[in-house]
Parts: sequence; structure tokens; C-alpha cells
Amino acid sequence: MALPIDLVLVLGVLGLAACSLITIHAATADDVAGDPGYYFQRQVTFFIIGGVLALAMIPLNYSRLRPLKWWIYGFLMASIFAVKVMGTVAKGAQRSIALGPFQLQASELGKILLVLVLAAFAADRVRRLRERDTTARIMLLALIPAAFVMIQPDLGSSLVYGAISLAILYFAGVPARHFAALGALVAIAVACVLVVAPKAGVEVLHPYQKERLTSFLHPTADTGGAGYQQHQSVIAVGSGQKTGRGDRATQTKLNFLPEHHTDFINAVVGERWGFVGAALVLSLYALLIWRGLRILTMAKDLFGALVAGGIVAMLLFQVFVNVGMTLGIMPITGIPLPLMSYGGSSVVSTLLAIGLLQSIYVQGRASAAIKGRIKGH
Amino acid sequence: MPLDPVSERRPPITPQLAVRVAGLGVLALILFGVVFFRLWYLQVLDGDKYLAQARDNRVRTERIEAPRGQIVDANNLTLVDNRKATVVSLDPRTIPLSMRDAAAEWGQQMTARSKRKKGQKGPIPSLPTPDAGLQARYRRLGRVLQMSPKTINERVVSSLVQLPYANIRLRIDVTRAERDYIEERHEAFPGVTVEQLYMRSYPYKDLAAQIFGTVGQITEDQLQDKQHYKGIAPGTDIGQNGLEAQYDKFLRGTDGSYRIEVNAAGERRREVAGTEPQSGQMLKLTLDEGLQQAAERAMVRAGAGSGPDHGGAFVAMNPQTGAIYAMGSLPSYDPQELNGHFDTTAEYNAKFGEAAGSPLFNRAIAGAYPTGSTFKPITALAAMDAGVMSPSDIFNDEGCLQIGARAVDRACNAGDEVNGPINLVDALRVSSDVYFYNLGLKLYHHAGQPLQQWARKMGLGRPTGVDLPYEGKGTIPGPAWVRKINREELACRKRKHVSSCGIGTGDAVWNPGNETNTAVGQGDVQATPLQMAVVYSTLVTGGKVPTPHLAQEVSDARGLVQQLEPPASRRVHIDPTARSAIMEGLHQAANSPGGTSTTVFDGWPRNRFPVYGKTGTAERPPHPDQSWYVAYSYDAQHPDENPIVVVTTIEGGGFGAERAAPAARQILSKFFNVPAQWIAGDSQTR
Repeated sequence: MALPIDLVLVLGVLGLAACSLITIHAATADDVAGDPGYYFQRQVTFFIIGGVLALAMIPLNYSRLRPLKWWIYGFLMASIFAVKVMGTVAKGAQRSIALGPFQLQASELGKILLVLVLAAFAADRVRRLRERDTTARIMLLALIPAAFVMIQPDLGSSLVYGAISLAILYFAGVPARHFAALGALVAIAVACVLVVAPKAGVEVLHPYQKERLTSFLHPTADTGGAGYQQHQSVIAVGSGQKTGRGDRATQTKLNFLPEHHTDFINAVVGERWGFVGAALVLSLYALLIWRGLRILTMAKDLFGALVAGGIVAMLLFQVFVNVGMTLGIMPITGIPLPLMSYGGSSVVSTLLAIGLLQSIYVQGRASAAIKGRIKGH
Repeated sequence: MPLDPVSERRPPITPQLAVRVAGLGVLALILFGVVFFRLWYLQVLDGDKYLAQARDNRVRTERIEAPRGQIVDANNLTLVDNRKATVVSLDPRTIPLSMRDAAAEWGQQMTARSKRKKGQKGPIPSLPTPDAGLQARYRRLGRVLQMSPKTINERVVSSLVQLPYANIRLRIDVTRAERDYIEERHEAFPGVTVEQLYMRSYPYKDLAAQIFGTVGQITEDQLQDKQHYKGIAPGTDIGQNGLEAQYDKFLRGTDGSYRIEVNAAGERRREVAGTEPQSGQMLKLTLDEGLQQAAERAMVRAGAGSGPDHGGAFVAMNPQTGAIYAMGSLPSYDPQELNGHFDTTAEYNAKFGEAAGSPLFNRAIAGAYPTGSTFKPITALAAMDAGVMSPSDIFNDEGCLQIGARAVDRACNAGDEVNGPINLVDALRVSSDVYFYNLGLKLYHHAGQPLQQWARKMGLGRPTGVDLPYEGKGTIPGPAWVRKINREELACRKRKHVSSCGIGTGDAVWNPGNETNTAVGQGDVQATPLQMAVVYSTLVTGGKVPTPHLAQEVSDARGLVQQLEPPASRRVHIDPTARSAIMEGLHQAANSPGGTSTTVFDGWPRNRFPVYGKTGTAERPPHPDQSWYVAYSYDAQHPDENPIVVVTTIEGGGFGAERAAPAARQILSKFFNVPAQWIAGDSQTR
């Protein structure tokens, strides 16, 4: 009997979990007075909860989720509305629901739910994939939650939703001209949001979001205002040089680097462990992407393949945008670094996604074994 | 356990999906490549730069002000000291940008206005008004500091114009209660800082105030001047006038700094090593506080400083070395009051304006006056050198002299007094104008303008080189000077298209009348009291032109002393017989019967401290006559020790013997420790 799960994927995840815990331990020692281990302990808890849930996913036959797609979609929308109704406000945004001592950020879990819904929907319409109607419906399914998440406001998550939907369309085999049309629509939408709507007196994006989106184009123009975080992040990363500054990482320690345990954790890695550390973390992500794509090819059915594709795209998009943001080549959008950033919702959701991947892997192998035997006989 | 061979076989996937997977794989590769390249670029190629930026981020450097050096007199009495003052200032960065721009514009308007001609200046542009928020801050501050919001606004605007980036000093010397109030309610006073700053203090108040000069923050223009003010940080106090400016590089200490590590919120974490401030060096003067006090008192008694038209100045100097024992200008002022706050310009002018006698003006080095008869020794020297006169020549002084062909071209003695047949010594003793008019007439016709040449040689018409800024150089009129005046007048008329600029007539020629006027120190002759001290020193020393100086040495905190050598003296060749004849005349003028200042020195120990003196009465229409006196004396028992030349002048003081000579005697009394006696002379000569 071969190994039941993808061990390389597990090792990659464990490696990232270790990196996350070490980095958070080092970066947040001074953040909560009298409790240097506050964030570290909570992050350990998140990894344990997420790990247990992921393990529970493995024996589960993911195909059973496919008929539940409308229930899942309903749950997704309900959770987003719940946030709107009973959510707590933090830093000017209403993104989470209090769940005992933790905050559940519905939009994080929503990413994985959306992957499932869109994959199921696409798989159901497998014979009509070349129709414009299918593409439109899938995009609509994605855009509704994306729009609601955006007004929380959580621009980052809504962008991830967009990336997921495009990935599902891509792997489902939607004709290229649909993508071209989508691209044109996106261009028009962006133009509306940034240029036309403000002129008409309607502000779709909050001013701070617009400043962040545009300030990265001129990194040195406003290092005190909108560009401050990114400027400090780039300094932190650059100052790490080849092997990092270790305990002398003042950008983090003296709080010049904001959000150093969440969105900007990659800058902490860069400052503290230098190019060596940052490259190691990136390599682990590359490993994840590679295994994800491999699992995609092993899926027993289209639904599994689309789920795997959605998850891979979700991870790739988040990693690139987040890391790019800390390096000053992408705008600040508030997307966490999966498995590295502090935050229960993100960690647990990502681990759930990993669990799903493993489930697809297990199912795929089992199915291949059966098919092989049939062929062999 | 061997692997199941089947499980290693890939399940079949459609070729299309394979292509798509490959597509995403390639995209992932590209994205990771971009990120890796960027990481490499930031950390490996540009890492040094960012490391430096990270260091700058956390360390702030703060200046520790160094106290300026003290100024002490020749006996080490402290004349200018430091004190710690509590200063309330406002950070200009907390002023709204619109207000700062408005202030800058107002400054430009004022500059433009000052460049326009009188009468066409137009109204004074109104001060920019603060917005409601700023106005509220002014009011709150004004209540604590007892200043009107209007005054605060004036301060803020003028500071923003002159020193855009420096802290705006609102009030110096606030009380402890006011300070505590502000510091305890820090949030209510955004941008307001209460600092302990070193301020100058003056134990002798108005003593020699113009000599010490003032200290002030380096101005925007000075900051631009890299030649003279290199390496001085904005906000530094530097000497702006007087000795403070002249010896600024010694007096100004080296500011220290401490580096503090701060976090992102600007809170101090810990201090990093810094440098200690080094206080400025102590400047020791040649000035004698006791003599200075006595001299100023004597001058006041002579009426100097008693009104706007009664300024006065004095110099007491060693003729050999040029070391100034005492020097002053009256009226004087208390420098501390300059730092006080004046609610209106009128209030300031009442204390420091023209109506108050322009106390800031140092008449001793910059007051250019006609010298009257004190000029006569120069005329005598020129005449003897040119060979138009010898000391034994007898001239019949008939009270008046015909200068030109016309009947009105006559010049007379004061009161048309007839002195009869006199030689040079007699002429100096009685100060005969006619005798010197005659010499002037002869010199006029002599080639090479000997009178002007000698005046210049002796130190007139050029700066003395004293170690003070803004020295006046006076005027020695002559043919060349008249031509220059004509040129200026004509150029001015052409430029402004007016019929007269008032500089001159435009077609004047140097005539005998001008020369004879110059010969007795009248007309357009202008000299400063210090220049006259140099002239007589040169005469006394037989040709050594000393460079007057106030500074003797500087010493640092460790006691390391550096002598400040004055520039080498110039030499003039003076014929010894000519000199001795003039000296005899000056001696008789102060000692012999009929001498212009003999009675002034009644009771003076003439044998122990021989005195030589020349009165002067300068006509300065429309002002009343100005009283002059120049004296030379020494200790007969120690002829080489401490000789002294004293020059006194009192604007509107009348005849020289009346006011200036008695004041000079007071100064000599103090210097030689002779009991003081005030005798106003009765000589009615010029």
C-alpha cells in the first residue's frame, strides 16, 4: 500500500507552519505588554484547529460536496451578511464575527467555499462550457459575494474571489474569446471605479484604497502618507541583506513596519533572515503550487480538478500579491500571506483547502487504482 | 513494502487540461521568478542602502545648544555673560501650509515695497490673517503669555518670513507658572515648545552696548552665504553685530548632539552616544571696565546722549599698539531690552529709533563728522612736507583772509579775532583759522594735492581696520572727489529724469574755498572719532599708524590661550622737526597761557602727566556746533608704559574747550588715577 496522502505537500505545509510560528514569535514579542507569547500561542492554536479540520477532510469524499453547492453558496452569502449585521468593527472595517475568543473572518472561509461552488457549477454544466451563458453565470456567482465583501470593506478578498473565478473558468476550458471579453469588461469597470464614478460623485473605493492602489506606482512620492507602509516594508526587506539582521531587526522591533505579524509578515522574514530566509519561504510556496498542480492532474473527475485548480490559483494569487506588496511591486490590498500571516480565519481556511487537496489526491489515487486494475484484468 | 505499480501510473487527463495546467505552471514560474529577482535586487544588490535607511529611521539627532563664550575686560571682569532663559516657541511645521505660503508672499510684497521710491511706496500690505483654527490657538496662547493674538500673529509672520524653518520664538523669559501651565496642558498647545535657551546677559547693562553688538538666529540670507556662514545649522544663534559678529567663530561654541533611538510613534527608546556641546571661547578685550564707566559718565556730564541731536562718542586708545582702553557711543541702550517684546513699532522706536538718538548706532566708529580744528596738525604736516611753510615762518593773522577775487570770498577767525604775527606753534596754541586758511590756499596751488595726500596717509578717508563690523570710512574732499560727486549727480539725473538729485550741482569745481575749508576740518571733511584717534596716534608715534583693536586674546575651557594679533601697523614718514613743532603747538595749546584748553587743565599734574591737546569746534549747519577734543598724555616717570590718546566729541556741544575737553580730562584722570576735576574751558575758538 502506497502512502495514503501527498507527503511532500504535508512537508511543505509543516515547513510553512514552522516558519510562520518562528517569525510571529520573533516579531510580536514586544507587541502585547506582559504577554510576549500572545500571538504565537494563538497562532499555534489556529494551526492545531486547522490541522485537525484538514485531517478530517482527507478521508472525506469531496465529491459529496458537489450536490450541496447551493447550500454552500447560501452559507457563503449568509456568513457575509452575518458579518454585515453582527460583525465587529476593527480598523474601520467590518470583516469578522466574534466566535468566543476568536474572530471569524467570513471572507477568508468564503474563498474556499467559493472554489467549491464555482467548481461544482462548472462541473454541472460540463456540456455547455463553451456557451457564453455559462461564463456569465459563473462570473455572476463570484461577483455577488465579491461585491459584498468589497463594501465591508475588504478589497483584497474580493480580488481573490475574482482570481478564483477566472481560474475556474480557465481550467474548465472556457473559450479564449470569453476571457478577452471579460478582460474588456474589467478594464471598463476599473475605469468606471477610478475615473468615471468619482467624477459623477460616487466613490466606489475608499480614498485610502485608491491611494494604496496608486501610491505603489510612485513609491517615493509619499513616504509619509499612503506610501508609508510600503516604504517601510521595502526598507525592512532590503536591510535584511543576504542573511538578515536577526535580533537587530529594528524595522520590526521599533514598529516602523506596520502589520508585521499579518499582512507584512514577509517583510519580517526578509529583515530578520534576509534573502536566505525569504527564499526558503518562497520555495515552500513553490512546492505547494507544484503539488497542487500535480494533484489537479490526478483528480478522478472534473469537479476535483477544478477544485484543485481553484485552490492553486487562490494560493498563487495571494502569495504573489502579498509578497509583491512587501517588496514594493504590487499595491497594498490587504491580502494575507497564506499559512504565514497571523490570523485564524486565514490559517484554518487555507488548511481546509490543503485538506481538500489531499482528499482529491486520495480519491484520485483510489480511482486510478481501480481503473488500473480493471484495465489490467 | 513495494509501491503499487499501478498507483505510479498517472490517471489519464485530457490533453486540453494538460495544456492548461502547463499554462498555469508557466505563469507560476514567471511570477516566482519576478519575486525572486526583486528579492535579490532589494536585499543583495541594494541592501546597504536600505540598511542605512533603517538606521536613519530609528535614530534622531537632537542638538544641544552650546553656550557662547563670555566677553571679559582687560582685568577679566565679565562684561557679557550667559543666562538660561525660558523661551516659548512655536514649531513652524504646525502652522497650516496656507498660512506659511501667505506669510512668504507678504514678505515678498514688503521687499518689493521697500525697493520702491519714497512717496510711491503705497500702503503697507496687510498681514495675512490666520484661519479660525490658528486664531483659536493664538488666543489660547495669548491668554497664557499675556500677548494679544495680533502680536502673536505679527511674530509668527515675521519669523516665517525671515527664518522659515526655525522655531518661532514667541516670548522670551516666561515665568515658571506660565511654563508649567503650558507643559501640563501639552495637548491644548499643539506645536508649542518650552525650551531652556542660553541668552546673553549684560551685568553692566548699557555699558559699551554698541561694541558688544547683538546675537540673533542665523537668517535665511546668511544661510545662503556659504562663504561666511559655512556649516552653521539653521536655528543657531550667531553674532549679528559688534564684537559678537566679528569674533563669532570664537564666541560661538560647537553644538553638541545626542542621538536618540525612537520607535515609529516617535517615542524615545534609549539614548545613543552623542557629543558634548563645547562652549564658545572666552574673549578678552583691551577694554577697561573702570575707564569705560568713567568715560561714559564724563560724556553724559558733557551732555552727550541728552537728546536726539546730542549724540556723543569717545575713544581712549594706546597710540603705540592701537589697543582700545575705552570706546563708546551715546546714547547707549540696555541690550536686554532689545529682546523684550514691543507691541507696536512706535513703542520700539521710542526706545531705539531716531527720536531716542539712534542708540544702536555706534558713533565712535561709524559717526562721520566734520572734525573742526582737530584737523589742523594734518594741514601743518602737509604744508611743511610740501615746503610751503616752515615752523619758524611768521604769518600776520589779521582776523580775516581774502580767499578769492570777490569781496565775499573772505574767511575769518571765530569772532574775527586778530592774533597778529604768529608762527606754527602759536597758531596751534590759539587755533588760528586764518593761519591755516593761508596754508590751505598755498597747498591749493601746490601740485599733487599734498593736503588730501596727508589726510589719507594719516588715516582719514579709509577704514581704520578696527575689529568691528560696519565701520565708516569718512570723506576727504578734493578735486577727484568733486568730479566723482558731479558724475554721480549727472548719472542720477539721467537715470531718474529729474532736474536735480541733490547729490551736488553737477558742474562743481574744486576751488580755493573748498581747500581752505578742508584745511581747518570743515566743509565736506568727514571723519569718525576713531579715525581721529588714529591720526593723533600716528603723529605721537612719529609715523606708526596703529590698527585699533578691542580684542586681546581668546581662551577655551581648558585655559588654552590664543593671542589675537592685530594686523601689522602701517608706517608713514614724518619729518621729526615737523613733528616736534606740531607737538610743541599741541602742548602749548593745553598748557601755555592763551592755549585753547589751558584752563581746562588747571590743577592737572602737568609735570607728572604731560598733556597735549587740540580743541575742535565743527560747524554742522543746520545742527549746532559740535564739540571736539583730542588729548595725548603719558606717565613722565614711565614714558614707555601706557601712553594714551583720547578723542571726545559731543554733537551740539558748542566749542571744543566747553564740553569735549573737560570730558577728555575726566577720562585722563581716571586713567592716571588723578583726582577728577571738571573745568569747562572758555576758549571761543574753533
